[in-house]
Amino acid sequence: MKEIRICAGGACVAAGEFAVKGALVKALKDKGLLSEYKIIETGCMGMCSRGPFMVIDDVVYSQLNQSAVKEIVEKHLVGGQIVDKYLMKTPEGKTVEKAFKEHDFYKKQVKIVTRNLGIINPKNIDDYIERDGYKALEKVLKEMKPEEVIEEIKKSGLRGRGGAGFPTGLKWEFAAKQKSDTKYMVCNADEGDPGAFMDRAVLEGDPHAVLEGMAIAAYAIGAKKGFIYVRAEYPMAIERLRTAIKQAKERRFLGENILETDFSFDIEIRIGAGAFVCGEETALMASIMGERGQPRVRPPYPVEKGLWGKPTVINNVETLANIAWIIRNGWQEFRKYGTEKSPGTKVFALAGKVKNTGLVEVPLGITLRELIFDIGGGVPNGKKLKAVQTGGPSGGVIPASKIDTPIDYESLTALGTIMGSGGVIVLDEDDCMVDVAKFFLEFTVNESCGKCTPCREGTRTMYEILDRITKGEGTMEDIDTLEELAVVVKETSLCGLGQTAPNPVLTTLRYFRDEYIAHVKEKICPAKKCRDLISYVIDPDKCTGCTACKIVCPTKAIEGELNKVHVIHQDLCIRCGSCMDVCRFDAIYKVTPPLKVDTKV
Amino acid sequence: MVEEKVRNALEKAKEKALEEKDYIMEVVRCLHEQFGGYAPPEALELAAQFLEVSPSKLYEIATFYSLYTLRKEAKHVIRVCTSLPCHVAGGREIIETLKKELNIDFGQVTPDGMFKLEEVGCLGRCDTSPNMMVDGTLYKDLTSEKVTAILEAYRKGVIE
Repeated sequence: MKEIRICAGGACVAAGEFAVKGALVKALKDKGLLSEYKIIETGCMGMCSRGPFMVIDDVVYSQLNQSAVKEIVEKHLVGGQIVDKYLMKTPEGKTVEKAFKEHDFYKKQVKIVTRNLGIINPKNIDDYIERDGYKALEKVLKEMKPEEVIEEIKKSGLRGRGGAGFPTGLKWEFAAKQKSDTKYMVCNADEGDPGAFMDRAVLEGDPHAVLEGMAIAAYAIGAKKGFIYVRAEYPMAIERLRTAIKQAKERRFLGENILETDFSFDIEIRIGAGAFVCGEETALMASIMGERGQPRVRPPYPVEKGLWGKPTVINNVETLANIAWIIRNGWQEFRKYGTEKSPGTKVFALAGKVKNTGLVEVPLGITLRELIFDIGGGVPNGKKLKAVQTGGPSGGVIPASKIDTPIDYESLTALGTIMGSGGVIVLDEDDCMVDVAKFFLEFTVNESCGKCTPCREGTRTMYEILDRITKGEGTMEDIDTLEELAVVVKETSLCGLGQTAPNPVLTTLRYFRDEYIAHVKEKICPAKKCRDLISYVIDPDKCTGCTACKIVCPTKAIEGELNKVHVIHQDLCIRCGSCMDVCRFDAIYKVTPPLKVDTKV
Repeated sequence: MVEEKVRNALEKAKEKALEEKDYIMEVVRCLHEQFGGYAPPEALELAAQFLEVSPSKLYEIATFYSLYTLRKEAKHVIRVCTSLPCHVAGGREIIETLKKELNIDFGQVTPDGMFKLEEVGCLGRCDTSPNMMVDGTLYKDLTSEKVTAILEAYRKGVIE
């Protein structure tokens, strides 16, 4: 039977995957072809901005709707003709037939963690088993001692993909050495970093890979019970995990006496409730134990005293999705990718001002330039790359001048940012760096749990200073205070949230101090983003008097008759930018510093 | 009525217990399901009695986490992303449109009890930003026009 794959990842579902599938079934039925094709609803195919996707014999169709599907069935399946207009295109506009093999976005990728994404139906365990699923678990249980499993992972050099990059094998070894009759294995799926969504994609697209990784880890450390802590914002991931756990139990990959051995392991799902700090491991444990999600001092580390005081290993989703692959293919194979200190691959989430957004899995050690220009297709609309933000609110910005640095845990730390969970937000010349820093600080202020003073008070004060600067009310002393506070908060906060919260400020100050000074001294925003420091102006030479801006202006700040040049009353203008969006003649532009209030332009 | 719902919630949560007392979070979550989006203080107290823990244990959870609430406040809760990926993709305008259309600020409820507006850190859909979530449904690639149309659909009951 021939196969047709449809992407049922989160973004494609939101883009109408269900309707596309319905149309496909109907069209196949109409042509009498329904019995000849197997429709497989897969996990995320990666390039979410172009969904919904459909793949027939390696030919990738994108951005589908119901009528497109009907046309493809008629022309491709019946007529044998590839339908060009629904093929994926390169940023230059060239169509690509077998996009997953030929499109730049996919060519440089190495699929270990995302090996099954876009290929298997995550709701069907047989699909996973067919692709060597649970073979690693079987091998481990029947052929390997726990120490051998740990040794294998240690040799592979796999490091925690949640952000900190602690060696996974070492963590397991610490837990294994603890003498305790009860131990726990926890999967941290509380992916909260703005800009990161690889864990969601893996949970939704290949949940069994995570379960298999957890079972192997549990065997290695001697745990019988496990928890997956998922955030409530990911309902589809929760649903698919539930299905996967149920199926795995039925097939004896989980539960009592797994695969007829003495090993038993059970997993339960725990659902978060909108607290970012719960991604921090001690806060996560508090939450599982039914307390407020607040962190505590380490040591003792969870491997010594974790859930209910018992040794507990906490691994991130992506880390766990690597495990079965390493066991099956061996540590040597894994080390073929990546660098000496950071072997393997990393899944990055490309977002922001980049042509191809989505998930990409690449060997560590790749440069940002390759990631953004070769894979991401560069910055859209002919704009210039200004900086790249990695690691979400705990990370920092890397200026365009440093994008040839190979990405691994150490190099990013040296630049002042962190790998974090792998979110990569591309910023162009229209983005203000002070605004970016302020943005992340606002996030941290909201998410600080309030337990320790440096984080609770320090981040708030830093935010207030940034807010003043973006309004043109900052002083040069403010910048000094900001820097001083940043160091104090970084060094004295209780947990990772506070310790990394100043990174956006410190890196923007390090690489873009002139922008801060411009805001303070000249009261200008060089990127023309900070509203209090700009004015919208109509160019009389370009304005045709079409009245489009006048109609859309929410505060009636624009005056002018039909076919005559319009003017903006600066005293009424709230600088929402609606007029600029609707103008078809490029007649509206921004100026900084702002015009004096009483001037009409 | 309240007691029945609390018992249901406890029942549901207990099924998922691997350890004694590891299901308190789950209890609060199940209470929200039972009561339709909130957990009233009297239900928390009753649940605490049944669980033989101090009521403050449940109360602190219901008040610490941003997705939990003690009062039913609005028919639909709108959570709009306020973090950077959405911001650089035009999220500021989306938030303004929402505030203008609903005539409320974050944390407030419209006078007709129809909508509550909340900010959310990240919905994990940064590649299709700006995003917002209404109750459990995600809306992506938003524009001001789309937001207006979505609100209208809820107001008219086209979307329940």
